[in-house]
Amino acid sequence: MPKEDSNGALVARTLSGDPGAAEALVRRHLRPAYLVALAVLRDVAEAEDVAQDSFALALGRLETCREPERFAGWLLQIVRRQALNALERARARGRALERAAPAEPFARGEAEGSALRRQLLAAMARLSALQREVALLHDLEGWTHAEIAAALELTEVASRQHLFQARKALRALLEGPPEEARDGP
Amino acid sequence: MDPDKLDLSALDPSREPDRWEELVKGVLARRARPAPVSRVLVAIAASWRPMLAIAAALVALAWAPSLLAGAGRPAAAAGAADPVLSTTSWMLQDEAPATAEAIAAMGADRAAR
Repeated sequence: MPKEDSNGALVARTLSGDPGAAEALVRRHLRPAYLVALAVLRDVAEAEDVAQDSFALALGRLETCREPERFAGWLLQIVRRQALNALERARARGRALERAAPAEPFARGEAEGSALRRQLLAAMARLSALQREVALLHDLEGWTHAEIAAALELTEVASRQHLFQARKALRALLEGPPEEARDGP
Repeated sequence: MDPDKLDLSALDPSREPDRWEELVKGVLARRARPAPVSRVLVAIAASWRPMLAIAAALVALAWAPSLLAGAGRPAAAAGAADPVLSTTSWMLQDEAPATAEAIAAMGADRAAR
């Protein structure tokens, strides 16, 4: 029998119409959903929108989640697919989501935080989407490699490799010489 | 404690609790919206091209008698637009014809008989 607050139990209670359980699922998993969307889209406003839509979609088709204990992995697959679709739609409209600056920053007026966020997003543009996902889920969300491997359908070794590469590249980009020095003769 | 860990806290969506709370509530609100079927119907209705559909239906109606009579596709009258080509062209270009063009396409069938 699943623990009362396990994913399996929350999924079962949500399916039986318990709004509190649905909210608990959202509070537990919206952050990783947002981070995966951000890893794909690299745009704060778009990532928020995709994370919300994907989560609502997932809750709407919760009965198709065959392994409720693995709700996180199932949800993140939906988020990634929705984010890639959003990226395709944006490209089809001729609007590249390549910008590093978020359209609507989280902290309006929080200039320092915004600048740092822009810097991080710009540096992350040099990584693959998978490296970004692993780095965000491990270093920001605190997931273990086992959890990341299960959710992203990787091996733990692959997860470690992606994290190593992501950290190395990000460090080089963030701690490297300033723009003027790099642009010099 | 992992000394190699990167500080990515600037990207933490819950740094602003109020805004984060809005996002959480937003998911629950989106979930409470009408079933996706209604959204699909709205999307279909929005992308429907009524003029093109009406024009194609009128041409098909004008052609129906000769097709049913086994006459096959009649040659277009000299100087008149070929109705099949006209209809196909409208569909490929995704545009509704002018009223005169639609009438001409229907008339071409009659002129050929």
